[in-house]
Amino acid sequence: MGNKAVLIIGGGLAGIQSALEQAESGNTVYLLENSPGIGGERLLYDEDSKTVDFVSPDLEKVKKNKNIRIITNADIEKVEESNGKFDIKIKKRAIRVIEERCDDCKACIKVCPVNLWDDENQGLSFRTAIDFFDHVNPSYNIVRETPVCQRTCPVHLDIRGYIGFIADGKFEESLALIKEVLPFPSICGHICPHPCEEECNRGRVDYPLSIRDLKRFVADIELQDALKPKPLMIVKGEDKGKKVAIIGAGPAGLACAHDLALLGYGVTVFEALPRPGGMLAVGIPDYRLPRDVLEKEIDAVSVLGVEIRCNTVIGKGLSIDDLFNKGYEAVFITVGAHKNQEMRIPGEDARGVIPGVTFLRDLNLGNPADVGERVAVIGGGNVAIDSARCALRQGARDVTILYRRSRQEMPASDEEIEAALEEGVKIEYLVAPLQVLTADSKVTSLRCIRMELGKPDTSGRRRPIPVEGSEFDIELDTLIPAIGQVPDMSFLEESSEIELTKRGTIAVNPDTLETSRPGVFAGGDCQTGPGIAVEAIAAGKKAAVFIDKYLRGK
Amino acid sequence: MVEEKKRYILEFPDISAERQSIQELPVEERINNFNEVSLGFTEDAAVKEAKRCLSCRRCLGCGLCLAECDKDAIVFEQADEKLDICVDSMIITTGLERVCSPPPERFGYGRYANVVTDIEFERILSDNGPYGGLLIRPFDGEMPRKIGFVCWADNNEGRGESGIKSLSYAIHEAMLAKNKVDGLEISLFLPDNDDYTKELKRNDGKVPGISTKEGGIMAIKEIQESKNLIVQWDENGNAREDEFEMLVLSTMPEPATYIIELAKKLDINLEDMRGDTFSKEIYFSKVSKQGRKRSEDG
Amino acid sequence: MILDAFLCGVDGVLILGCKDGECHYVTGNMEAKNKIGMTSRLLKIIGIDQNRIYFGQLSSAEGTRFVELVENFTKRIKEIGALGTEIKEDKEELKFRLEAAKAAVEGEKLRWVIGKKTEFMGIGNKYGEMFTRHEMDRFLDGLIMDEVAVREIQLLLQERPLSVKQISERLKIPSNRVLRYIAGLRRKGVVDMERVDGTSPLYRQL
Repeated sequence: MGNKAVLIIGGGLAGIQSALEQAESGNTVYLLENSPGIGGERLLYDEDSKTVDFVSPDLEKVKKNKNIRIITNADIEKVEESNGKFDIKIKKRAIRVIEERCDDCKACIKVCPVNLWDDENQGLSFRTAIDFFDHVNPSYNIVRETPVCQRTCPVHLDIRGYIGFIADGKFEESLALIKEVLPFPSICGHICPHPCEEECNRGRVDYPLSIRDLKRFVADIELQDALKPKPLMIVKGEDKGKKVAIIGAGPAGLACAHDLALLGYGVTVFEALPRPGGMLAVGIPDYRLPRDVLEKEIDAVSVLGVEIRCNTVIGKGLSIDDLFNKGYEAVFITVGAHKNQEMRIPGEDARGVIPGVTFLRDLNLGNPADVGERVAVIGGGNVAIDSARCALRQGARDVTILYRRSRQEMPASDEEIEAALEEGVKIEYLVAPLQVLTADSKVTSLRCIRMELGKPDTSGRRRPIPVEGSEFDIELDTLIPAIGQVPDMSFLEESSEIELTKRGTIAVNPDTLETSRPGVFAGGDCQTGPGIAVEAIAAGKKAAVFIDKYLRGK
Repeated sequence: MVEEKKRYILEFPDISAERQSIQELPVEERINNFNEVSLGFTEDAAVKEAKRCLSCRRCLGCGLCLAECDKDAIVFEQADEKLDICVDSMIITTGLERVCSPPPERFGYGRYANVVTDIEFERILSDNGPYGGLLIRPFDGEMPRKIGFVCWADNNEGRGESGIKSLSYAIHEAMLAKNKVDGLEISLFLPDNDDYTKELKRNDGKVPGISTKEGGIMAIKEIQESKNLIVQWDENGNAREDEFEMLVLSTMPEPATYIIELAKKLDINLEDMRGDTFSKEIYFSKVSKQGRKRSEDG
Repeated sequence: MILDAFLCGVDGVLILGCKDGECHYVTGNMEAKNKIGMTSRLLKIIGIDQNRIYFGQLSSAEGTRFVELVENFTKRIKEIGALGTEIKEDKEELKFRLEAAKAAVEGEKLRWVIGKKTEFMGIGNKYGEMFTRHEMDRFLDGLIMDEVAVREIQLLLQERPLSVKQISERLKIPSNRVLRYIAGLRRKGVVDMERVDGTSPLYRQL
């Protein structure tokens, strides 16, 4: 063999040996290493010099070999297999030091004023912002990472920046910085499950910063100031003379509409429900996100010239083809995931069984269901918690959440669980429903079984196993199953040419969010499955970027 | 580590150490209405909370290094580079160093200053490491005379194999440490598990001068003053204890997350590929079926 | 300069400059303000009342304000007492800390960064990033603390070789932190291990 191209991932001992072997047999070798220097970390004891380290003579050979290209400080971004070959996209992080010029004089590290956590040495020592890792084989580099909070945030908000402004008392500057990327600071300030706070470094010291509530603080100042409106700074792009249709007025659709309108496109948002906002309007109860907060931020999108048509169902009568015929040049599908997942147990269709999303939607649209006195909710997510807390507010006296795993595995956010418990919701862990018992086809009680935790499943959570003979009944007036939501794609006609995934979500090119049909994009829960609002907003913003690209290329 | 960072924070009296709490509607006022529960921060609390932000450090962009560099070798504006390559096959020989499950809390890692992981210990041993090859404790820079190595079994399914691999790694490090320092006393603690005993026997020739305790550890305590560690273990049903200046905990090596994702994507079974974790590198063979065939040919 | 004054034994330093925007040297008063701010942070870190330094801004026409400032400052210093009353240890310790602080101020790290403060908050750093006041202060606090500790360690090691434990006991800085500084200094080639005494490696200044 020979004359082949080989990629070796990992520049340690094994990688170096493989690289030499491959190069000797005549292949072209790419040696990829994640850290700034090759050599690996394996320790060997050298009898002669009494040193403990790994300095392989192979290292020099690799460096000199013309058939080996060393790519350090790099990550693999994407691998695609085609025709028996691999197309690989590699990202080489900037090291900001020109190796050929550097003569290892250490002048820079002597003066660098920044002491950082030293990753290479497991945090046992400091490193300076500019530093080398390996003194045998110095590879200088500058660390300039995005802070963890910003990296974790789906829209990559400059959290350090806007919090710094709050600390300085400059609230307007703070909000302006947020609004550069996030069109709905108030909504996120009220309901974001704040993945950033999980990562916050302050959490290692005592408690993480309340990033979400700080955002709410600056965003609410503006909302309250609405009485004496300030001139709004909007820099709108030149009118592009092109129209885009967005199906679904949820966070993804509105964020996309916002960004496209700013770019100068004419945007119409089609919403099936009577109110815009998607799950924000019909999923999240008012006690978490007050209606006026939501409406004010949606109004801010309308102000940009976006038309939101409620009570307009796409499908029969108005298909995607019709939209194109009406002069829309691109379509963004973001219909969310509003269909309740079925429990698949007998009696599920009895009266008095109201799926969580349906219960919350009816309540939010002003026709609340009568839940009676005793309510059981099945599930461990935020929809389950919301349903339980709403049932309590609807007058139920006895509300119990049944969850088949333990508190540890519960996907709902801790603060929601705490609040529910505070308000008097009971939670029974390790219980699964078996059968809905009915009288006159109305629910009377629920037969359950106790569970115990077994081995972890594919999601990494421990799988619950039924405990034999532990069945018991719970008497109730209303049963609210809330074990998950799926997108409802029945509005797509076969002729729409839009492909779905095995999971029933819309298939897209992950880089551009474009579907199998040119000019049609999709994002948010209907493309990813149920997620959090800020992820949907991120998807909407991404779609806006690629829709713009698509329309400019047309 | 935590303690140390705490001091770092408390140095600045202008930072309120306490997390500021938001106002909330009292529970009794919540039922029967849908008024918002959380009332948010007051201005005062918001500013105090914002001041808790550490403004996490990274390169300041001050340009002092460039000013000092005779060779003009520093380029602040260098951007990330994207490369597209096309290859016939791939070989994955990636390291494991940063992807290790943390050891259980009962061993005191993170709480006790002189309990380190095997990976940290490896850095300590290295002439290239944080202490320039001096075998010293992270708490006070003293040279320990008595070190305990602790291997533990993970009950999580699928980790058994790597747990045993971690034993050979512990032995390897213990030998390196012994070679480095004359007269170093080393004890090796094993879980009460036949697989480990077998693996130890397999390594028998390699562990002269290391005393092994196979009964499993009952408790680890830190002595307040010296930060030495008292280890209690089970020896044939009797509780024994001894004092160590430093403890080294084994970690379960795991392949890096992006490798797991890559493997999933290319539909290969990582378990098949997991090779000699002893060297902290997984030797995967070629990852495409085609590629693997080539490797056999070659 | 300010620290030299304290080393000579003065109890307080009052500095007067022009009002913002009225400086003959355009930004001279801003830079002075930044430097004095840093010096007072430094005093706080070494345990000296930071109110011993005051930077007043007034124009040449404000005679009464001048008198008022001086009177207030003198009154304040009288309340605080003689230099060193806030430190329990002896005069030698005071001198030692001031020497370390002076070395830190004169070092290029602090001088450079403080010189960049106005630039960072106005037009941004090398990457074009702007700093909030909070961010800048947080960074300076950390930097000053590191610098003072490192200078104290270096002063000690100039006299005789010491172990991490000895330095920690002398400076009342946790030993694990001292070890980090020592490791860093060794890496930079400023400090090296001299010999091992029992189980303690001893380090010396190169």
